Amino acid sequence: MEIDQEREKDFGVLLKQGAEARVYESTFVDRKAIVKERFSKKYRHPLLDSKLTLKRLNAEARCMTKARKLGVPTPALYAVDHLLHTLTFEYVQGSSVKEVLLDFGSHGVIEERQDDIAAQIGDAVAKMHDGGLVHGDLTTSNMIIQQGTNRLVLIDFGLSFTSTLPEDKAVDLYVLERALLSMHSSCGNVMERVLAAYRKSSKQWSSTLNKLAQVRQRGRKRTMVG
Amino acid sequence: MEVIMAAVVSEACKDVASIASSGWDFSCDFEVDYGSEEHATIVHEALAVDQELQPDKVRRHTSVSDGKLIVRFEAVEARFLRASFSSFIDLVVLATKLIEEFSPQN
Amino acid sequence: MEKKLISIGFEGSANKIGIGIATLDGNILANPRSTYITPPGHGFLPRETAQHHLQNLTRLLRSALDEAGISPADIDCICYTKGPGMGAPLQVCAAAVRVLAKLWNKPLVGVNHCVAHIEMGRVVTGAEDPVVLYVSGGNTQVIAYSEGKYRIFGETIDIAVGNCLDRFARVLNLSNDPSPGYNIEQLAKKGEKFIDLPYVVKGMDVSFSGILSYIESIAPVKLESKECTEADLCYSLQETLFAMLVEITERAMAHCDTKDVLIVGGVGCNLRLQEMMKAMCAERGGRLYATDDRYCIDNGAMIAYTGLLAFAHGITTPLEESTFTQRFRTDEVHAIWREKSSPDVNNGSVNTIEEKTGS
Repeated sequence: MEIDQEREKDFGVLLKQGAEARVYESTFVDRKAIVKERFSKKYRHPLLDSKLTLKRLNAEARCMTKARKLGVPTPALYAVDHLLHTLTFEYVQGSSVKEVLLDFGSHGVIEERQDDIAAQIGDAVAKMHDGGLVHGDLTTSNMIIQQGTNRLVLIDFGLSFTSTLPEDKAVDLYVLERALLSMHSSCGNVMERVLAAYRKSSKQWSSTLNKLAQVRQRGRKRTMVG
Repeated sequence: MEVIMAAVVSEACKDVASIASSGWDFSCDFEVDYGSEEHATIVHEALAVDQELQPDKVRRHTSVSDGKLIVRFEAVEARFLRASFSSFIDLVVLATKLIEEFSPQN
Repeated sequence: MEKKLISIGFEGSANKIGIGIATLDGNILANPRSTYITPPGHGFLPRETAQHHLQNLTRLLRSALDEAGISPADIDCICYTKGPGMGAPLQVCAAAVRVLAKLWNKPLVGVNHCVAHIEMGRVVTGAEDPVVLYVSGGNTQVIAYSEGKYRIFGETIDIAVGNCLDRFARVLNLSNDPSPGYNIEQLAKKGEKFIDLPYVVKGMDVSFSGILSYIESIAPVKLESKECTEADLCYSLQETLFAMLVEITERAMAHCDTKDVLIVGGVGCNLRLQEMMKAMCAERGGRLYATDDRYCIDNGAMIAYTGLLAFAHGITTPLEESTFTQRFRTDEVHAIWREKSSPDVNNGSVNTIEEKTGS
């Protein structure tokens, strides 16, 4: 993959080339920062592409801030640039939950740490949901365990939206459940612990978890013809 | 090889009022004479794998005797009997065609 | 000369019945098929579809054997679609293979329809370990192999993409010949105006039912007022649905750290979908593997080939267990043939699979 030299000068060192965004390490007023640049996708119709890019840039900025207000650890937002389609936010040092769990998968699970991570996930998602916020992309790549504090930080709010519907919250949890099953099946039942923590932290757990059972059924019972 | 679909399909639908209802008031019997124990057994075993979908409404019993496939349906309502009977007959016809056309050289 | 393993496969889970004959190296000796085509505006129903299969099965079997130039004695195993699919049509093939297994004294192998699409796609294209997008009238799944199974990373949370397209084709009263999706694709080529439609991606999952009801409700109004044409609607629907599919596929690729994509299933023949997917793969330095309608669309050879993979690893289905099932998830199958890097099979030249990927 060719890296645009001009860009690198603009934003800093390219850390990650994601599906829809490039992530750079940069500085913002003398602080280490992350610049996330959403780029256009050539396969999409131009109208659809610009609609989605702007929608997600705004959603990410708004929802990241809203989550923080609800007491969910997220990086602090520093700046939004609508022309360059960039967000600048706090640099969080640490590894993703995906890396941690994959490491557990290959080197053995450290129960205590895994329980702690699962509990933090359940708690964070519960706080968001009770505040009417749905993450939309709860995968283990979008959760960071901060180095030193072992605190869970949620990132990537590009698919987030506000909703108070049990259905939306249940699908949010279902996405997480599927991500855990497909990628981390060797870590035992992490989702069970996530849900236990969710029950503890969410006031509306009952309607959400009832809906989750229905959403699961829908997945399994679809007849899948042809 | 010659296969004769039984010319006689004896259908004995009982009158609902006649006997104190055991629930299985509608029944139908038929036989297919293959003239071959082996062929009748093939059809019997191949079609016995699938259970009736509503065992509380329709039941089917098949057996083989003297180169004949013997089938009995019992149902609680005529419409269930009709549906099960006709889809089973379709499969018997298919099985019979396959035996007629694709048997190894006799 | 050592004889190669040969299998025959019966597929009839939806509106197509196909009988294919294949060898373990993926050679397809015959693959005839017949499609039940309903009048415009109508979908296919289980009973009628089963009737179609009943009427065509023996004819297809005869032509498969003739085309392959083999006799039943040359066959090593008889494979059939165990599921998922529509009950009555599935039963036709299941009953037929049981009769043949007894008649010819051959073992049976029940095959998962979705896994068969994947294996056929892999052997035809030479894709080794791709992320698979499986898109058809009944399925929409993003799949990758991991630890003995094909795991579903993303899927539709309501209707399948093919179902969404088929149902919209019914709204426009498009012909079902050769398939509603094909006719939407042709009409979409004439579309110019992009109509904004809902776009629903949730993590690696997608939802289509909201888009369908939206476009169903605006279509009559916009067509009446001449605000857009039928072609514009088909075009916009395709652009939107396919962008969603490409997006979740890319997410799965990022998640699994895989570069290549394989598209299988009936909707996989759509050239616009292939073009969009290709553009995405190129950006990531990967490759798109796709097949044409001979293999994309349901066929018997995919069942024959996949069943033979299982058979070569010692798997058979006893007669009394040779049932069919409407629900059968892709991740329920133990893909034993993928576990060893070089299967110790000596009957078929398994190596050719690897040779193809070497390029």
